[in-house]
Amino acid sequence: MNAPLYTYNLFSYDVGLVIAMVIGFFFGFLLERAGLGNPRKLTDIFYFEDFTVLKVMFSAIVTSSIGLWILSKTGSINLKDVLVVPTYLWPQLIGGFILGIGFVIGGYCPGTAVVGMSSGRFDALIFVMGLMLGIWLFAEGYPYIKGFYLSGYMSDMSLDKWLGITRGMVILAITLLAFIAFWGAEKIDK
Amino acid sequence: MVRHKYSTPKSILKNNYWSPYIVGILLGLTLLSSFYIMGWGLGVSKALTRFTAYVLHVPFPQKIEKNTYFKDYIKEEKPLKDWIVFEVSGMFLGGLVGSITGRRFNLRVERGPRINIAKRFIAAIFGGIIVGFATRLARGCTSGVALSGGAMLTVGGWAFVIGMFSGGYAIAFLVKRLWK
Repeated sequence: MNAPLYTYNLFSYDVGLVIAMVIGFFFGFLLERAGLGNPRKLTDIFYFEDFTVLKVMFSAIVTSSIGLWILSKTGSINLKDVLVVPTYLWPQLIGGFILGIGFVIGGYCPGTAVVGMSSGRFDALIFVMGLMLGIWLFAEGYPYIKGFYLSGYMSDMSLDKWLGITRGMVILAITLLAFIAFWGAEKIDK
Repeated sequence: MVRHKYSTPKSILKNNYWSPYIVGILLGLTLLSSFYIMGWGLGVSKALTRFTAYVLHVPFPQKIEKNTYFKDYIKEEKPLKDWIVFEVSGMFLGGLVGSITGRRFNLRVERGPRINIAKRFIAAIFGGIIVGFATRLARGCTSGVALSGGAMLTVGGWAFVIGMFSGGYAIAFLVKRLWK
């Protein structure tokens, strides 16, 4: 058991910042290569025309979750040491819903807007300014929203614990669902 | 038919993108590397929150230091010296190199065929405000909550995914004019 490497003090925080740039570089490069810096391509999924968003997102989730599962089964990584955004069920469900609305109106989510900007799109720059205003709005309204913001707390609850089945079973189910979705998406794309 | 002086013609959209499945697998391996090396996944909106707090702190130092939400984002001596800020800077570079090498870098306003630039900008800022607010409510965005949380099988991550697609499809036909 020697991973996550940083957790086991294999390198300093400053080295971590260099790694951040490298990991971020791949993230941005790959989103651009799939065409996800383009808001017309990004929003096409909501008009049943181009399912790139779904294909990229679910291929990535399936790959990464299987990878994590193998690494934890072989004892190379301790999943308890991996930090995740804690679950607050209601604000995350509603936050996701609101984000979906803004996504279709504005054409981006935050990560794709960064790539949209760096591929020369002025509308992405305007969208990012909007993001900052929205974040400011939240911070100003925080005292009034705090109750809802803290509702549905479930700590680091994962689907396997929540459903009472093994992690492998959940990943198998997600993989099957992803393949069904890919099959459906390919049918519609033709 | 509206002319597309500042927008990508549909014919170019279909060209030279990589397979979404290949990109997805490579992105999954990038995310896995982040988990393995650092012990956390990818993210974007927290970097933007830090940046927003930092920028607002210049004209309104006391107001931001007293703000119960922002104060945690500027309490360090160098608030921008944060892993996620460097990661997002890397993303910007990656997108730049990707678009230049893919011959897609082009200064333009990307918009649907039926709206002008002014309307596109209004939609972009309005959509941005909604998304920015939503990321703070959900404690992250598509990268941190949906992708990284989804891969770690968090309940909140999957609730977010369901919410996001529901919200998108709920509004899509009301704003179809923006894109189609």
